[in-house]
Amino acid sequence: MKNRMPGLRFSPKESSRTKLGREKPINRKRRILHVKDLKTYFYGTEGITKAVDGISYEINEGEIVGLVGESGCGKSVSGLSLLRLIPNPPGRIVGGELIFESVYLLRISEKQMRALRGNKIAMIFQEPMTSLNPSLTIGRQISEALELHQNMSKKAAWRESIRLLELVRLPNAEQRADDYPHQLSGGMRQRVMIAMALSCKPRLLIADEPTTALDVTIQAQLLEELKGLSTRFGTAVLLITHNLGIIARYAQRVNVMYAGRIVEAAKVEDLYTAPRHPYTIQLIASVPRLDRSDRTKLSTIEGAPPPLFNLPKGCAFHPRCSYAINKCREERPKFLSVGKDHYVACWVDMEKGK
Amino acid sequence: MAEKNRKIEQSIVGHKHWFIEAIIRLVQEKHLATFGAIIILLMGFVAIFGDLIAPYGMNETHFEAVLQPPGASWLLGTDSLGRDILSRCIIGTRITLFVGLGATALVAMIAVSIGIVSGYIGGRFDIFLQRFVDAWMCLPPLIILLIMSAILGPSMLNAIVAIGVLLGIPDSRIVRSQVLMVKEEQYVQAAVACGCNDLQVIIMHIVPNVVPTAIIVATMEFGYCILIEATISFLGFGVPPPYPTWGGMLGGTSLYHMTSAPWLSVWPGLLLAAAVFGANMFGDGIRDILDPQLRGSGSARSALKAARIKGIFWRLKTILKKKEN
Repeated sequence: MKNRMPGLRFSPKESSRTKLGREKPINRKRRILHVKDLKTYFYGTEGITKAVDGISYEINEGEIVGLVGESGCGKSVSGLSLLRLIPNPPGRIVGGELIFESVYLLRISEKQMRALRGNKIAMIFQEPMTSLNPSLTIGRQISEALELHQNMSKKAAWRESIRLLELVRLPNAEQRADDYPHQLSGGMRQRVMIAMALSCKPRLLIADEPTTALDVTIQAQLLEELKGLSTRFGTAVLLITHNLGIIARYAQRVNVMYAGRIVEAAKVEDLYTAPRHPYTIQLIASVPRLDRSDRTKLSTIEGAPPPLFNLPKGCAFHPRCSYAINKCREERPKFLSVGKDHYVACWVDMEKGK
Repeated sequence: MAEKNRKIEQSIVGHKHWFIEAIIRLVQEKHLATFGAIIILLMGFVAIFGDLIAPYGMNETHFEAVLQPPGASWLLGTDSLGRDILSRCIIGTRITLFVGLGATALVAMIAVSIGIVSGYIGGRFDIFLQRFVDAWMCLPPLIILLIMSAILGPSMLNAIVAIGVLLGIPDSRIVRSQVLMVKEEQYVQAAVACGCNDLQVIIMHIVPNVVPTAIIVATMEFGYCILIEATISFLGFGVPPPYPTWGGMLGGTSLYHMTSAPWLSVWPGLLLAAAVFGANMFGDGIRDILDPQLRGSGSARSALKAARIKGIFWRLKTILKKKEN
């Protein structure tokens, strides 16, 4: 394992060459991504599906930010929105602002966006089984991005892809580069996906449930790898998952999503020790815990998430919320600070605090 | 179990390329298809070295031995101009195979390009293009062929173009359906997320996944191409004389000597049947190996194709009857 990071040099001063949409420089921690009030709607026959309905968050350099929520709460759509990969006809980003390293992502042309995809912003998909082209060798597939963005020759790209495979600790990288995806196990494929995503030294990595399809031991290995690479190269990671355990261990900050909106945002420690939103509280309570020996029934959240094309009035969670008051049924809660770096969108908590 | 796995691993690692692997599997598993492939390969050999094998020149006339039955000096007999049928059959193999292969390549090219453009772009463009393909499929093939041959004039290249366009347009459907499937795969989305533009996605990810389908289409149409070439040569729109073609040898003066000298048409007819049989068997075998999923729908398709071929034979028969009257 000597020389594990050859060829990967991240310079912190490296900034986007795009001239369009510059923002004032920030003095604080280096901010990689700022999502402001992002809205992605799908226009279907049943009506407008508000998959992402006004979410805001930031990701800083070298930080892993978690995005948790149930299936169908808009996590993946918000990830795809960052790359502007929402399939249009049905979907469209209707509002908000995406600021990536002083570039306004929603204002640049498709061509400029393509130059960023894979290069500055990379994505790891959920299914390692289907995210690799079965008819190309994995070395070829990693080389593809290198040739595309780094203008490398075929040979140099091939060498670099072998180095990347070594970086993600794929055993026998040199021989494996000649393999087709069907010859690899799920964990190995996901390593290849990570190598592919890291190939161009991205500033931001969107990991959409990177380990959902893998078993637990492989999950841990891969996430350790991801975390190590993130701290080493200063890559910001948006970790989309429904697994609270993964977030607790690997993320620094968490955004909890419910029905297309962020209901709570906090540092990991704060969220797990002092959750403020009823949804988060119940979500954490529903996780099986090893340190509790009592044989009580695992608590669940009653009901099902509302259909996104027909959200209830007021707070989307109120039909399932045991704390709901009248105000919850009428007015959408504001996203307000309840502590340092801790934001909650809930009327009840606000009232209690006062 | 472990040993079995190692064996599988070895077999995978041993023959890396899927194409070589497919050929090995063909030989091992599909004996009839291998037999078909041998027929085609033999014909290819004959086509290449025809000049050396043929006992006489293709247009050498021996007026002293007109319409000789098969015998010692004329293995397959002679025609009404005293030309050796065996030599003409051998040289005819070259033209038949050349037109067959050329037309097949054109079919694959047209099918792949229309299929990819139509399937990948999709939307309204796809709908319009597919209605054109629908209209094309509605027209009787022989009529299209005759019209195109009449417009282009008789020549080898024109025959290739006519056959290629005739079959390529309907076959684009098969490629298109494959493209529609591949387009939705996650690796295509991953490639887009990697910053690939449409052309790069098509070249890197769509085309390699369409190649097996294109090979299946090509091998399945090869026999049909040979048959159509024979048909248009028979009708006098194919490769013009003095070049001998099997179809041309079936037609022309052979028709007048059907009863008195049947060997004129029997030999080229048998060769044609052998070539089509070989090509079809090989095509079916390759299809089963490259795309096992197609097997179910493939049988329906073969039935359709058989019906199409039957139709052509029926038309040939009626034409023959008319000429005899």
